[in-house]
Amino acid sequence: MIHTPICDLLGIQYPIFQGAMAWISDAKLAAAVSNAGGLGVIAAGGAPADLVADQIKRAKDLTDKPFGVNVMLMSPNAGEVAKVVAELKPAVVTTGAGNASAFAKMWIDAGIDWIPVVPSIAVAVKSVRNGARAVIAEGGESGGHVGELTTMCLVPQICDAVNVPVLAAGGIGDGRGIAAAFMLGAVGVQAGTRFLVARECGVHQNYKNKIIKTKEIDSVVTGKRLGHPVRSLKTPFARKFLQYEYDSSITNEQLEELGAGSLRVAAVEGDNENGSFMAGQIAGLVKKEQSALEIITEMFAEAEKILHRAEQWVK
Amino acid sequence: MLDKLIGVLRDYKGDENFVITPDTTFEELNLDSLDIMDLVMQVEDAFHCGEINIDKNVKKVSDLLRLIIDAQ
Ligand SMILES: Cc1cc2nc3c(=O)[nH]c(=O)nc-3n(C[C@H](O)[C@H](O)[C@H](O)COP(=O)(O)O)c2cc1C
Repeated sequence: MIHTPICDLLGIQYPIFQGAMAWISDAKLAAAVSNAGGLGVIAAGGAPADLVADQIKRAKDLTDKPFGVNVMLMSPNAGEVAKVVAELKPAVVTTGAGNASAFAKMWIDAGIDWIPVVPSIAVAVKSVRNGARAVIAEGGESGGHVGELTTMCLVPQICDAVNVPVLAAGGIGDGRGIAAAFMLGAVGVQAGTRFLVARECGVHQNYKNKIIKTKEIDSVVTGKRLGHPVRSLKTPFARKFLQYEYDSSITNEQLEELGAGSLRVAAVEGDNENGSFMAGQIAGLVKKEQSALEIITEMFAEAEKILHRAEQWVK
Repeated sequence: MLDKLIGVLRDYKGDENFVITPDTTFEELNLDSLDIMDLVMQVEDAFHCGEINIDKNVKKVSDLLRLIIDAQ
């Protein structure tokens, strides 16, 4: 059995978070992951506060286990969503890019564990000073918005810099990834891409099929020019975006416009031409649709085996 | 205080002769958002001040200086 401080901190069986995925990870997926023993996370994305409130209430109906909500700080609704979260008190709130310090105190006062995703030591240290109970060190292998560093290099350096539990994210898709993350000093992991194909995940079937077919070289980072790079699959949309990005006759405003709403087009409509199919580099090893429970138990059974086996190399 | 801040910034850039005035922008300093978070932490430590929250309105060295004064 694998049991780490993050299990005790949050009262979960397996030290794994299902990473928030805007437009995708709703109450149903989050509850399924939590019922399976991990921590499911509802993505607020750009949604209005009342919709997020409905999702939190729904998740509470679907599970009595702890779950989390991810507040997207760059959303124009962030302030309202942050308040609703403080009122409805999910066990955990995670945050991504942006400054959460305006809300952190409100959440902590409400008894919610705030666990930010951090791309650098400075952000991690600052967050811990502001009361973060743990941090998620996310490398640029991941799907969605990405940072500069790789998981391999970021995780150990964050572990050295803070005295709270560290979860590793970015490129973790099976038990080997979990074992590796533990070797780097993490005591838990967050996975997004692997959960895209969970049976309980409501993303469009075209999206799932694409993930299952994907090879290791099929993802690309776009949006560097705009200062918020995103990793997605090399679809016609991503190729077009990349081409525009290197075209100086296209303005940043035009680029922003092209990108706006493109994840929804992929996730909800399954539009192969115009959608942005965000996914991580690890998509290449995701081969089948499984239930959240199967995903989690399989990953941890493998991790356990590998961690035992690793000892053979120590003479 | 300005001199001290300029010192921290020069130190951060690793260039003692970098010309920095109150009107120098972060863009001119060639710092990305991760650099700025990192720099802010060093500034907080150097000035022993409270938390500095950088937002979109902070564009120049003088803006940062104002935040430091507020945080002290
Ligand atoms: C389609 C998609 C959407 C995502 N949306 C969000 C989001 O809204 N907020 C967030 O903090 N992270 C978001 N992420 C990042 C995940 O929560 C997670 O950290 C990441 O997927 C981990 O890396 P992996 O994809 O290699 O497993 C998203 C990732 C994907 C693939």
